[in-house]
Parts: sequence; structure tokens; C-alpha cells
Amino acid sequence: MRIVASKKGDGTIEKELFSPESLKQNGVALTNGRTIIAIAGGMTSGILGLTGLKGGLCYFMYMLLFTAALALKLGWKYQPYFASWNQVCVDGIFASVTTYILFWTLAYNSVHVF
Amino acid sequence: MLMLDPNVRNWVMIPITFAMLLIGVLRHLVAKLMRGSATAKIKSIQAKQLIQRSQYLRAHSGFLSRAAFNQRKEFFCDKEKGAFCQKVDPSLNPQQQMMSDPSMLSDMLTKNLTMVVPQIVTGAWVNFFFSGFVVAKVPFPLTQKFKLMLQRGVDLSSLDVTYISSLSWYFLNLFGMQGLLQLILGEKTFDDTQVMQQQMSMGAGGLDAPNAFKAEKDQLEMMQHNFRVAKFVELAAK
Repeated sequence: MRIVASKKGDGTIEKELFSPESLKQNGVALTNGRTIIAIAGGMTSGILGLTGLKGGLCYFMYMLLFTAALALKLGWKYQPYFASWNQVCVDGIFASVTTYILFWTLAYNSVHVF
Repeated sequence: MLMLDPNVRNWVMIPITFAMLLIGVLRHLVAKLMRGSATAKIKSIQAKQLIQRSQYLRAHSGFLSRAAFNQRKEFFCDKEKGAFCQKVDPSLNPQQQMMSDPSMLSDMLTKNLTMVVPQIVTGAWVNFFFSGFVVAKVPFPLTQKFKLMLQRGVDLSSLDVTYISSLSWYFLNLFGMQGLLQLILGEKTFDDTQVMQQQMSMGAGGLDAPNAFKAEKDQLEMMQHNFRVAKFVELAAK
């Protein structure tokens, strides 16, 4: 456990308890979820035959959907599991783009090109 | 619209993907096997823990009275007997460590070997067996500048840029497979960018004891001690 103390505007000191290991594990779970969504979404886009900008926009739609589902599961608050909303919404979005592109291309080629 | 032979899909595109996946798994396992024998030296552990103790002291000094804090500070910083002022074992200096300890060097070498060799081998394999194939069509538009990069080995000037050669498909796999591998293996695998960073700051894992001691000693000496417990009653009454 690590204590992070931060001073608030009115002078009171607020203390938060973090467990770095758990925080890390939650981060890993988050990225894994994003990867799964990227794979499933890539295949969906490919099979539907989306091309160009439509596929790119769909990626962000899938990610938005994932974030919304996650937020619903967390009960619309990040508190006990993540450090901030930023982490829940943004972390790992761009890391899984390459995975999305790979599976998009794979599915698109398998269904539509050959 | 170009028609591609389904045999190209069955015998080029899918095998490359499959091979990349298996090689990723293999690479992970080999690296795990080689990593197993790392044992830290007792001297370097002692030095690390000494620094950690000093850091704890700085972080929680508020709970110690002035006398107790000074006593501990003396233990670390005293000019003659202080723990940070002792002569440091020269083997804890990373540059000398590199000279005297060949195991570190070979360790780094094997790490690089498991990293780079499979990449070169798969790249050569794809290049040798599958050069000249138009393997796939990427579903998004690209500018003409990508032509040289994506259609290496396919010299057709009128071919649309979105059709890619087998080598490009290999690269697409190389980058895209990272996430999937992480999912399959359940832990952090090789991240190419991370390894490159490690190479930049060579030997960052080792502890530079003399400098670390000096820095920690300076910080401890500069620190202003503030006995927080005395104010607790006041705070509680508020």
C-alpha cells in the first residue's frame, strides 16, 4: 500500500490509498479487454466489408462501447479500481489500433477479396 | 477489382500469420527459459536496501522526535562512521562491473539474441519463399508514397496502392500480433519499443552505488525535520 497525500484548495489534506500491484493488474485487465474488442471489432468490420474512413470510425465506436460497458460495470465511478477517468477512457486505445488493423485486413481479405 | 487466387490466401497469407503467432509464443518461452538464472549479488542488495531505508526515514520522519531523527541521520551521514560515507565496493560501479563481470555482458547478448534473431529469420523466410506475391488488399486508402514500401518485390506500376506484398503483410503481422500474444500468454511479452529503450540506457538495471549514495546523503542532509506528532492533539481537537 502506498499513501498519496494531496493538499486540497481549502487547506485540508486528503489521503488516498493505492496498492500499486492491484492498480497494475487492473491496467492489464483493461488493456486485455481492449485487445479483445479490437480483435472482435476488426473481424466484424472486415466481414461487414467496411472500408476506408468508415472502418476507422468504427474502431472508435467499438472503443466507446467498451468504455461505456466498463463504466456501467463499475457503477459509473472509477474510484476503487482505477486512478482516474483518463485511465479508463484513454489508456491503451492507440496501442490496440495495430491489432484492429491486422484483423480487419485479415477478415476483409478472407471474405471480400479472394 | 483485382481477383486474387484463393490458393494465395490458403498457402501464403494464413501460413504467415500462423507462423508469426507460433514464433511469438516460442520467443516468449525461450526468453523465459534464459532469464531464469539471474541471481543478484548480496552486496548490491545491501546497497539497495540501505538506500531504501534512508528513503523511508525521509518519508516518515514526521513520526520521529528530533533526537531520534538525528540519531538515524548520523547513522547514515556521519563523516567518519556514516553508512553512506564508507568506501563503496568498486564492483558496484556499473562501468567497472561491466569490465569485471562477463556474465552481465553475455546476459545482455542472449536477451538481444532472443529478440533480434527470430525477427531476422522470419523476415528472411518470408522474403525467400513468398516474395513477389500480391497477398492482400488493405481496406483503407493510402497515398502513392506507400507504394514503394508496401509493394516491395511487386514491380507493377499500375497496381493500386492498397494491394500489398507478402513482406508488408509480415510487417503488419509483426506489429499487430503484439496485443494478441499478450492476451494468449497472459503476461507482458516482448514489446519492441521497450527493448529499444532499454538498449538506449544500457545497464540501467544495475545500481550505480557511489552516485546513488552521494545523492541520497545530500538529500538526507538537506532535509528539514518536522515533528508532526506534537501537532496531532491540536489537529484532533479541531
